[in-house]
Amino acid sequence: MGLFSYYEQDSFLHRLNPTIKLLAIFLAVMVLTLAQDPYTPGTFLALVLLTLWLAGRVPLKVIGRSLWPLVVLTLPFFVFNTLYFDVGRAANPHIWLHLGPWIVAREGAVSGLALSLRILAFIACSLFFIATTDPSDFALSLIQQGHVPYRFGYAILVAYRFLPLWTEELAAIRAAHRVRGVGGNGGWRGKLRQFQRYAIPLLASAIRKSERVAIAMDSKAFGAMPDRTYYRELQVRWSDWAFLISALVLLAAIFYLLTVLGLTSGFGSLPA
Amino acid sequence: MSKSVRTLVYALAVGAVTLLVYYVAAVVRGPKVEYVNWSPIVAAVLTIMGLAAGAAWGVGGELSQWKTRDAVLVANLALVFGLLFLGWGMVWDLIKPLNAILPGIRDLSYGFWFLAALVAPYIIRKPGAAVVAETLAALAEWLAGSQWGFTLLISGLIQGGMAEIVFAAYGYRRYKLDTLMLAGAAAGIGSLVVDYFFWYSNLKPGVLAIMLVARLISGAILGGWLAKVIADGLVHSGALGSFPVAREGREQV
Repeated sequence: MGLFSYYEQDSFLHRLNPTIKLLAIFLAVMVLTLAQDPYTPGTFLALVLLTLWLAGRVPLKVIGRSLWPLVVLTLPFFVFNTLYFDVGRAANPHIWLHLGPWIVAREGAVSGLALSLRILAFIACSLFFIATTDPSDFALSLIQQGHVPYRFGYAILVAYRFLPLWTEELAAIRAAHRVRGVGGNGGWRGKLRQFQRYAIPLLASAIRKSERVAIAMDSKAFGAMPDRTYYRELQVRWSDWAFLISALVLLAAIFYLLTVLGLTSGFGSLPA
Repeated sequence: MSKSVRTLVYALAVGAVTLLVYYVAAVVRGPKVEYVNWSPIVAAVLTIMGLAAGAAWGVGGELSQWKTRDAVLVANLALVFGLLFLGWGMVWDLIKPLNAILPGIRDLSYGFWFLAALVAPYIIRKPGAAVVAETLAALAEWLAGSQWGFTLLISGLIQGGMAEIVFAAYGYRRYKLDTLMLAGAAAGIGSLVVDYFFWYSNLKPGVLAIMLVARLISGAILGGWLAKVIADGLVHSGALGSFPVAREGREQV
């Protein structure tokens, strides 16, 4: 499975409404995209991780273990964006060296660094959300606050519930193939054929299971009424709004401080 | 208003409004507005995002018409595709060196990420299937811890919205190889637009052009063609017996 998972804990961040948390991340991601300098995402990244540690009570060890593989993945992205930077867009490029067809300029490196820190800031936001949000609360909140049709909300819950089954299913398909003496040859062609052999039975079994569950749901009159009641009702409390507003104020404060210090370069323009 | 017309009208309306807002902000208010400059690329990017978001908005009302069976099927398919997408991210990182041959050529592998938006509508043939499937697959990929973080949700919505426009343009009636390939190519445009917005705005226009061509090709073949192969394989397995895609096959026989 993936690198991030829910970290069970009781904290301020864990008690926040999932939809409000998602909204806060959406706004932060959109605003961060406007910044072209490395300082804004860098500062934000540090603050998100700090909040996750202190207000979310997620141990630094867990944060570090989740993030380091992604830090490594960011390196090639940095190199690509530096090498293929559109040098013509900078007013006075500070060219460091010519490498065959590539021009390595300071502006390119700064832009590459800014984009890499942007990736890391976005990843930190994801970890922030995923580590502190119970998946079933998230689905429930999407229905109750996000106005997702409840049939879809429950379908998402069903899919989530089925998740561990796919690993078992895959193991069964692999065993069935091995018993019949199929597969095992290497090379990328073999891998591709293997993918095809596994994908179709896996998807077919997903479809069969979905249909069976849907029939069971229908037979219990699920979806017969336009609305339904809930055993657990999630609320949006004043602390949720306080969190959303303080996140935006913090973001504005970062922009303001960095601009006063002369470290930003304005929205949508190039770093100087 | 028929369903397909409704999707297209919403798409065009939101696309036009987006373009107008950008035009007013960048041109009408004059060059003194420091932060917004007119650029044809940005105009195209914003308009296409508007088109796709509008299509997604337009089909939103359709979702309450879905049967439980369709919703559960699409959610499960999307989850499985989301996990496959996460794995494809590793392939994407492994073939990074290809970009040293020709920058952007790696994008020939991009079409795989549109499969959810193509397989789901092909199977259930309902308005909204492309948007819902691709967005949910992106959600699954995001929650499983993808390197692209939250931007995936926006990518999913825009890619699905672009594919949805093609299915709507065919009146939600024709689901053949050409429809799937066109929808895949449209999703390819949508993907580049979002990537430009988040990551690629400082790249050379030439590199962006190669990426666009690569994604159109990849969306059509690795997306559209592969989606048909997978879906037909599923029909063949008998799992889709009660869905529209299998009924069509029986009528032909």
